[in-house]
Amino acid sequence: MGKIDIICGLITAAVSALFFAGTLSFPKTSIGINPGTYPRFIIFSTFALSAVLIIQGVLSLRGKSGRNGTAAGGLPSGRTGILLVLLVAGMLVYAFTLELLGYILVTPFLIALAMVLFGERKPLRIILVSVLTSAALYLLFRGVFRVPLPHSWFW
Amino acid sequence: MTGAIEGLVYVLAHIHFLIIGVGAGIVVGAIPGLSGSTGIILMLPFLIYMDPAAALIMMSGLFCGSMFGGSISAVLISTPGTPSAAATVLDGYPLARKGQAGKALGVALIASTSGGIISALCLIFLAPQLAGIALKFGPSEYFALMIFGLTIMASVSSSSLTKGLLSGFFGILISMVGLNPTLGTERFTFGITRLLTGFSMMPVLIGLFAISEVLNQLELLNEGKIVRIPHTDKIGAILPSWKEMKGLWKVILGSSLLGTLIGIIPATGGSIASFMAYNEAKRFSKDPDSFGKGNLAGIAAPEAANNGTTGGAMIPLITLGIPGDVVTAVMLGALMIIGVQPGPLLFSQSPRIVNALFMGFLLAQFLVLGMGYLSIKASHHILRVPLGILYPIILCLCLLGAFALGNSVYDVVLAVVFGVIGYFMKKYGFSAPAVILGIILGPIAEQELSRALIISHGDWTVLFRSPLSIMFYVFAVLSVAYSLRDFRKKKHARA
Repeated sequence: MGKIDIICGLITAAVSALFFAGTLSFPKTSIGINPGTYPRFIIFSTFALSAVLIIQGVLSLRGKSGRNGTAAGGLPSGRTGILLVLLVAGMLVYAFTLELLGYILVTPFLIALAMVLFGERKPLRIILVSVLTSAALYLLFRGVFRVPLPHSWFW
Repeated sequence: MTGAIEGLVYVLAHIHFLIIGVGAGIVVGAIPGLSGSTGIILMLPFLIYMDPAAALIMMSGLFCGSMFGGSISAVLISTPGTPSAAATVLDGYPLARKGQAGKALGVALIASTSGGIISALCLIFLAPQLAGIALKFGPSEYFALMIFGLTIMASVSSSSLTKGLLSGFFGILISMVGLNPTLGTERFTFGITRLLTGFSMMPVLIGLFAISEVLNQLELLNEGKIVRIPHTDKIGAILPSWKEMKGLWKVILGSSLLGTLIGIIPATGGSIASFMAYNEAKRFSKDPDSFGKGNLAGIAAPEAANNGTTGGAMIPLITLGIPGDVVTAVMLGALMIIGVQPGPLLFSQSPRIVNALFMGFLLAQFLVLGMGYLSIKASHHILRVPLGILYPIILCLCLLGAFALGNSVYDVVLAVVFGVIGYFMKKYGFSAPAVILGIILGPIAEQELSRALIISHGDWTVLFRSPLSIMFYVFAVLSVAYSLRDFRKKKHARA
C-alpha cells in the first residue's frame, strides 16, 4: 500500500500546485478578505497533507511504520480490471452517444452490457430486463417528470 | 400545536412518499453494499421534482428504514447491511445459527422502532430550542461552527486520518472552482468555460456514492466476495415472548437515549452509538458471558442505539446546517439540490417543511414497525435479489439522474468521472463522505469568514471574540483529537 500512498500523495500535491498557480492571477481587494487568502490556506493544507501521505508511504515501504492503516489493494488487474474498464467505457460511450442516437436506442444496450458484465447469461432475461427497464424509466422521466430525454434525428 | 396538526395533515396527505421512503430504506439497508446514503442518492432524480417537504419526509423515511434494514443481513448472513448494524452481528448471527433468526429480527425491529420514536420526540422538542439559539449567531460564530463541522471529515474516514482530511480538503478545492462568492470573479476555471458554474452537486454525489459502489460491487462479485443467503435457512417465529420483552425494556430505553445523545454530536453516528450501547448493555448485564452467543440484549442495545441516532443526527442538520453523520451529510447535499437550506432560518421561513419533517419522522417509526415485520417475512427474497439485474438498473438510474437536473450530457460524463474517482478513493482508503462535507461546508465557511471580515473591516480578532466561537473551536480541536485517538487505537488493534 506504500506505493499507492506515494502515488496518491503525488497526485494531490500536483493538484494543489496547479490550484496554487491559479491563485497567482487573483485580483487584490481592500474589502474584507483577500480573494487568495482562503484558497491558499486550503491549498497549503492539501499540500501539507499530501506530503504527510507521501512520507507515510515511504516509511511503510521501508517497513518502519508497520502497517499504515490503509485498505488493501493495488490497481485492479486481470479479469476484474477488464470488466471495470469495459463498464466505465460503456458508460462513457453511453454519455457520448445519448444525444446522437437518443435515449430509447442506447439505454437498453447499456443495461444489457452491465448485465453481462455482472454475470447474467440468459439472453431472454437480458433482453427483457434491458428493454422493459429502459421503457419504464422513459415513461417515468418523460411522462411524469417531463424531463426532455434526448431523441435522435431519426427518432 | 397548530404547526404539529398542519404537519400531520401534510404527512397524511403525502403518506405514500413516506411509505416508499421507508420501504426503499429497508431494502437498501438490507442489501450489503447499499446503504442509506446510496439510497438517498438513488432517489435524487425523483426528489428534485417533488415538493421539498415531501422530499424531506421521503428521505427521512429512507434514513429510518435503512437503519433497521441493516440488521436483516447482519442477522441472516453475518454481513451488516449498513455500518451501523455491525454490532448487531455479534449476537444476531449466533441466534440465527440456533434457528431463531426470526426472533433476533423481531427484537431488532422492536428496539429499532423504540429508538426511533424516542429520537423523533427529542428531535421535535430539542430542535426548535437549538434553532432559537442559532438565530443569534453572527458570521464569526457561523465560521467557527463550520470549522467544527469540517472536523467531521476526520471521523468519517475509516482507515486513515491523513486520508480522511485529505479527502475533505480535496472536496473544498473542488468547491472553489467557479466564481468567488464575494467578488464574483472567476477562479480555478483554467480557461474552461463550463467550469464557470463550478461542479454541479448532483453528478458529483451520484458519481462518488452510487456509480463508485456499482464498480465496487462488480469487483467484489467477480472476486467471489459477495455473501449470498443459503436457500435452506429458515426465519422461524418473529415476535419475542412478553417475558423476553419485559427483560429488555431497560436496555432498549437506555440505548435509545444514548443513541439519540450520540447522534446529536456531529462526527459520531450509528456505528459508534451501537458499539457503545452494546458495551454498556454487556457491562450492566447479569450474564455478560452470554453476550456474543445470541443474547437478545446484545441485539436490542445496538439496534435501539443506531435508530436513536437518526433523530439525533437530524437535530444539528436542520438547526445548524451541519450533518451529524454520513447519511445526513448526503441528505444535506440532497436538500441543497432541491432548494432547501437547512439552518435556523428554516424554522422561521419554512415552518411547513419543519412541521412536516417532525411529524413525518415520528410516523416513519410506526411504518418501520409495520413494514419491517413484512420485510422480515420477505427477507429471503430481498437478500436473493439478482445482482446481475439490480446493479445495471441502479447504474441506468444514476446516469439518468445525472442527466435529469440540467438536461446535460456533460453532467453524465462528470458523474462517470467522479464514479471512477470514488471507486479508487474507496479502494485506497480515502473517504467519499469527507469530500462531500468539504464541498458543502467549505464554501459556507468561506462566505462567513468573508462576511465577518467585511463587518470588522479586516480585523481577524473578530473570529475569536465571541465565547460561542471559542466553544466551537474547542469542540473542533476535541473532535480531531478524538478521531486521532480513535485511529491510533485501531492502528494498535491491527498491529
